Amino acid sequence: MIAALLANREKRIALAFLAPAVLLLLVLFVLPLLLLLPASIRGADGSFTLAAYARLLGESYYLGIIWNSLKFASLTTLFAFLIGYPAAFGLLYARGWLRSLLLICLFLPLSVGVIVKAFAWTVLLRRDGLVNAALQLLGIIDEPIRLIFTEPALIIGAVNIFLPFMILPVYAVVAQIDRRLGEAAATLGAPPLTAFLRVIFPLSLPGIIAGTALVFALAVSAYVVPTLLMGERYQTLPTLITKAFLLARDPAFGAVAGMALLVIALSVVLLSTRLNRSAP
Amino acid sequence: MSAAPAAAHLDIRDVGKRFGATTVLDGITLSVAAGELITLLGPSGCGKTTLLRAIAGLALPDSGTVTVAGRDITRLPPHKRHVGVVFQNYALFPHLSVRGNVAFGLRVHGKPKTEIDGIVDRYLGLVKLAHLAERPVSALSGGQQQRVALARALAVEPTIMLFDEALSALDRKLRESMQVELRQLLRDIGATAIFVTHDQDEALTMSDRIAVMNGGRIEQCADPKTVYAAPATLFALDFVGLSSKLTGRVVEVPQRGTIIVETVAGRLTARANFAVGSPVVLATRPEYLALSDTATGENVISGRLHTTVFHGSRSMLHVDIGSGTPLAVEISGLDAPPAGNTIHLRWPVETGYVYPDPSA
Repeated sequence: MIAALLANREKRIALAFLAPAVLLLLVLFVLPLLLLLPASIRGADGSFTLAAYARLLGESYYLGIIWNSLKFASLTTLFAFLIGYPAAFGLLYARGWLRSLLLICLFLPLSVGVIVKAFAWTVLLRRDGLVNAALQLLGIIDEPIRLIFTEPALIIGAVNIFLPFMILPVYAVVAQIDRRLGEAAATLGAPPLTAFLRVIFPLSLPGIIAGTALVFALAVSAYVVPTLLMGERYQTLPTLITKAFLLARDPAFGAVAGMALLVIALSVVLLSTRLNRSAP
Repeated sequence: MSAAPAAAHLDIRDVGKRFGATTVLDGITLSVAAGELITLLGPSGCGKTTLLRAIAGLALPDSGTVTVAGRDITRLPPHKRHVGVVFQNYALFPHLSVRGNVAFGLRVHGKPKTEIDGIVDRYLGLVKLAHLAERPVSALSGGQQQRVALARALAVEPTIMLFDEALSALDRKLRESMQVELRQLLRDIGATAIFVTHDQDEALTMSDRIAVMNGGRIEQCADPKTVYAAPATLFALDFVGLSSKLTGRVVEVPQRGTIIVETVAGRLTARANFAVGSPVVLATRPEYLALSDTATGENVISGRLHTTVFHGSRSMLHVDIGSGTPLAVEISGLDAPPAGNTIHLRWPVETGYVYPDPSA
């Protein structure tokens, strides 16, 4: 296959440009992943065993953790889509300085770091935090309510942190859609909603697919956000992996949990590539 | 501006539109009869596209009314107007096939599936694309995409068809054949159509009447021959066809309707009503200037032949008559005298035009 690739001049050049990135990923990403596989099937005495797999997939406690991860990632992705999709259009219709300002608002948080943002949410959501104070001031509640360490709070925080990864791909795609398509649909008799559903939405699908895959992959593998916003008792695959390696000293089980995460992430990526190919 | 046709199908009255401090449409009034093909001709920024968008409902005018078949549609949203538009770059739906594009309007109108297929086939046949129905539109050439856009707009049977520079993206040969074909097709189905273009050839070929637009106004609206042979304004003269111009001052009015103008090339007689002393521009078409054997006689001017450009059947002479800009003269192709010679030209009295001099 490589020989065939090298036979074509254009492909040779493409390969040369890709080489640094490919090498970096091979050494830092693929190699460690390949090491996970043998680790996941090695027992404490070094013999071959699938015991760790049986444990993860056989015990309801661990299935619950996988379910937690999937639920957290799915809900985060869903709300990021519901908020981010219209926001991308808002960005599109904003003009001049307003658009620049909105884009800065979108990019700036990306440079702050997830720990800082997650901590900021804990400050906002704790018993004596800003949100409780505001709700009391407005007379909506009498006593401070528990916000932090609840699932809604986790989703709110995660959506806030991962939202740019939904907005930006959708924006990049819808910005490419010729505005005249909407006008053409209107002159053909399509009311605004019909024009949107039949023309704009299908053409924005590649952006939705990319944004969904990004946010889901980020959320399902998030460690800091659930740890800080839900505390120790709430477990997802990434927190399980950390515990297995650092606390339980059970590398086989950590590797298995890692494999589970990898399978989930890979399925999302493969599914999105597949969908993207059939999308316009 | 010409009188309104008897049965105005589309009636535009005093339509005005401003974008900020710029007046884009300055009280446009235009009537279009059913079955008429009209061109809005003008340079970019003259307001022609804005007027088209006001008719389609894609831009709301600030003032005035747009009426179709007696019904005021000025404030109606585009999807309720039944006004078809063929856009400059066609605006085909890239995620749909050729058939999907043509069927779009029919589906939106809720026509039954069985009927849609038949209608789509009919219109694709009309634009000779039946064999490409299942292709994605991205696989088509520019000319084919243009036909799809046309079929798509026609399929919903709009009351008026609008074409926004619809042919300008095609190469010259294809554009010329499409002009003839499109005109015939629109005639056959009895469509009322408005073309927007900056291409004078397209305007002359396609339309029953041309509205020459400039600065948000219609400078002249008449049939192509009148616009060419009797341009109402200096702008209309310059924008359609070539012209030869001389500036001067009226020195004598021998009788009503006739003036004598003093120019660098001498005194010339013209047909117009101007007061003595008025600064004017004398103009004519290059082919109305004829070579003269002698330097004497009424309306004969002399100059040095600067260059000759041979076009085959015709030759264009550029004659230096001392006014700064050479005078263009078009003659039969093989008759050109050698460059550098002094030549004599007869300035036409009846096919000469006189306009007030805008620079004076």
